[in-house]
Amino acid sequence: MNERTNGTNKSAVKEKPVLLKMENIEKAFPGVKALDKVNLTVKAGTVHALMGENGAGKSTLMKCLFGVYQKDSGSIYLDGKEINFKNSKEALENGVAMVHQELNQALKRNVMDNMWLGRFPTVAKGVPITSEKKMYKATKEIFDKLEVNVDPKTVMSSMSVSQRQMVEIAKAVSYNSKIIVFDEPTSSLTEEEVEHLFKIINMLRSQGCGIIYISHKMAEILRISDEVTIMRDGKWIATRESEGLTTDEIIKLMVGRELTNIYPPKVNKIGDTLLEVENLSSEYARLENVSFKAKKGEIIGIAGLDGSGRTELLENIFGVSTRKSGTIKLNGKQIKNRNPGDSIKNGFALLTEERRATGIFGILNIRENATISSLDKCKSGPFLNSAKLKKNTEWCINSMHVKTPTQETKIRSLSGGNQQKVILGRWLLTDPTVLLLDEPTRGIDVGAKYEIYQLIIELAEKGKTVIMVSSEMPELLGVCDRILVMSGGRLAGEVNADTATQEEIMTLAAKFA
Amino acid sequence: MSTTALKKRNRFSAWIDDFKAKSGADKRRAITDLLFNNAMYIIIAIAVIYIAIRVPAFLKLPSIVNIISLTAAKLPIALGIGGAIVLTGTDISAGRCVGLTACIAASLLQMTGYANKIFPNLKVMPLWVVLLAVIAVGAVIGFVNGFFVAKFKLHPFIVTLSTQLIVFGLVLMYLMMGGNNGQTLSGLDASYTNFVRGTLFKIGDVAIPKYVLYSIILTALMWVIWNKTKFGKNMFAVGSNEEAANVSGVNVFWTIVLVFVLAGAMYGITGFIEGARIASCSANTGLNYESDAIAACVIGGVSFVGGTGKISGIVIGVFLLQIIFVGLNFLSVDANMLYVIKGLIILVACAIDMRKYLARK
Amino acid sequence: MEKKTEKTPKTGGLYSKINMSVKSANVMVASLLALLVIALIFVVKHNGFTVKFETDGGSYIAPVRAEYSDKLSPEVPTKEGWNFTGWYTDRDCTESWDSESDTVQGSMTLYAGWDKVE
Repeated sequence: MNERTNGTNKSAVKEKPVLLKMENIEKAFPGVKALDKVNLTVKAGTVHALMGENGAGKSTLMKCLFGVYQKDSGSIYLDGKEINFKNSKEALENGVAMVHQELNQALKRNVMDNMWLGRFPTVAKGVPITSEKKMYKATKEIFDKLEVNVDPKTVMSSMSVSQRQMVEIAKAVSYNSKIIVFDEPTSSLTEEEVEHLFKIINMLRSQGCGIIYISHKMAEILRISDEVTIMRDGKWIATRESEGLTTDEIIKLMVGRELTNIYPPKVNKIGDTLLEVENLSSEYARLENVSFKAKKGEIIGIAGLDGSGRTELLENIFGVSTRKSGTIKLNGKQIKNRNPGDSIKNGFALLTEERRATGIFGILNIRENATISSLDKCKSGPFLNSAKLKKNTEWCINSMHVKTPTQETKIRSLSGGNQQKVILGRWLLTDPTVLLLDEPTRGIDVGAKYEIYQLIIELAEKGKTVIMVSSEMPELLGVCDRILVMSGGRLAGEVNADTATQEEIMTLAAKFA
Repeated sequence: MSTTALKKRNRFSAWIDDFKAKSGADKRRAITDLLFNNAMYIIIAIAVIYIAIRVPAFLKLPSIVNIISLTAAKLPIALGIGGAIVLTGTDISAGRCVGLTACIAASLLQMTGYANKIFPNLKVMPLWVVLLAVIAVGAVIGFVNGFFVAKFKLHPFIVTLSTQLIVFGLVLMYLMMGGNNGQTLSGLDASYTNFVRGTLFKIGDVAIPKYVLYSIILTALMWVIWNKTKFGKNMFAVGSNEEAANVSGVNVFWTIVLVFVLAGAMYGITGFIEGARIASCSANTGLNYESDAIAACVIGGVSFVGGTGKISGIVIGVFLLQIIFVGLNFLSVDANMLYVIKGLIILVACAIDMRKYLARK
Repeated sequence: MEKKTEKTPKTGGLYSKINMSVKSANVMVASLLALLVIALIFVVKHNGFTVKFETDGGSYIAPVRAEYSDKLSPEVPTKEGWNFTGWYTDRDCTESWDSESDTVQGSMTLYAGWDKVE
């Protein structure tokens, strides 16, 4: 694979004309200074990576650019002219577009409708009848240019995420955008789709567009970007040319200290077989005949692409989704796990993938969030005992190292990492024997990730079985003992985490895809 | 008591300190927030002062006792609806449900020998049997509401809109039974009216009716259920994030059903009290009670955001609404016009509730 | 794949789909508040209860407007062959209206009571 697919002359980056300049941007929210004199200069015909931990202020900066938030002070220049967009529509009309992480599209409508929404071409000027023909032609032209092989009449919901992302890019191109912002564009793409995306990005770059690329993935950044700006705690830290930059350097700049070990040492000892899953199939989701065994004190990783059935497997074991067939045995005894309540009684715990959607109760406080699954243990008679609730929450905060002022703090005011620790604590309060963790470190700072890994290994050391799903292969290789690879709803294979390579896993993941 | 007072003062002084530390723009924002979030209380306060100046009798003992009694009468129904609002739902069958249970209670407790008795041969039944019966009727209606909301994920508004109609039909049919022909039920047995309207104690020569006590007991009961039971915690969890609650092992179905059953039982009790309180029950009894209750909940901080709300807030909400209604009555404002005011109050309360949500986001 | 983009966080309850700035919410709340205050002023300006009289076949007595805590002294209706016994607040004529001590509490209808002339 070519390290750099385009022919940009790197030394020329300096001389390229400045397209977008954001100077001394400041933005404060009640109690927090979200942006503190941040600078960002994007040159024409370059890819500018914007990096930083979650909460560093990347998205706030972008929201200030697009007018979602009004900046408190500072100025933004586009092509030398000062601008101050009121909303993203105005930004789009002035050539500043964004390809969102979460695609906001009308899924029941077709591609053309989505592309030309709000500015449908009419049959003739002044005639309020939209012209399907013109729309089709214009869409097709842009698609051909971008080498996107999609019929403009396809309904959005029948397309893959990457195809829908392409539509979003095409939309940005159709507005003749000069600046295109990509927010975590590869988080749900396959390797092949990533290649295609990079090809398009390179094409846009060679046409003189300025591209702002937000991502957590170091390898991608180093490969695609010309310059990197790093933010930390709402402050501008550094802007460097990507050439010669290393992953370690970036991490150092992002975290503000050196991370010597990304993964803690593994001290867990593997015992006897605890869990046996046989021929598990799901009624409505894509999951067929999955069988595996897990031992006490073992950390099993589950790898695979998005939609390969990883989450479905955990949800099925936990009884969230309907099971078609298959058996689960714990300690040789068959168990049912019909619903989450049942599973909790059997000693299972499930940390869900989408923390905000299915994990936290944002509006409730830490104590309520921590104890909701173990309320039976906090009763005296038919009533709940506040002292016991407080004690259990205290334990949860201390043993998980949750950073919070009080137990009454609303959970949504905590950082992602601390929220995750509270939920992990919620599950540990139920005293589980099998922990099912779905993307336990998604959207968490580098520093907090290490703490989560440590907790996982500690739990395994205490004889609990941990089954964790992750999209980050290095994480699986670093933390797990064994890795099961899912593909197309089936189990594609199993590798030993000590000896396996990422390539091996990728090959298996593509087996039934 | 002193510790909570201290806590309150601390919170207040903390707010002041916080405010002082803020910059100009933030200060302005803090003040707008304060003004908007408390706009309803401010308006009610101004109105009370105005009414008290124009009609001094408004803040005299008999009037205050009257407001408290009215608050007590409307409280149980609001306590029931509060649970449904915590689940981001609502319950518009409440008023009709009160009507049905009031008619049932009144019909079973008419005095012997009264000329227009609906069931002429029926002896006066024991009070507790009737009370349990109307609670059961309310609970069954609540169960139907809860079942359709929980199982079919229908919006509570649609479900309770349907049950509201069904219940109204049942009231009309019920009032046609025996020789009644749809007439108003009155001539209640003394034991019943005494049990509800009898004097609890007197302040000066102003009597406080017994149902105030029942209302206090129900409030305490609901407070315990909301704050000290697993069901209460589960209710807040489901209201805050249903999917997360399911994954956390909360039985979402039964939690929703129970919230509505509990609400139904509350309507049953309200009906029982209301039957004797107004002493003449017709098909119109209970009409629009739910709107007062919903308004009271939202004013009292039970938010449609879901997962938030306090019993104390509901009590305050009901109380403030009754103050306004009684006050407007003192100003001789006709009941017809009061409907417009009620509707506007609900809209304003919801708009403020929404604004709070937006400002926090 | 589908699930991911369609699962939006369920926070905000009824308001989860609101897309509005705090500023425009302020304008909205402020105008609603103004409307409420205007309505309150209007109803207070146009106050007064209506008391209707139902004479059950007797002579017609026009409704009167009254204010809170007013006392009423309505005309005495006549009906051939009947003696007027007084005003009552209910149709069954069980709760009588004492024009000396009873005061108006709201809009209402008073019913005439009649005794057959022997």
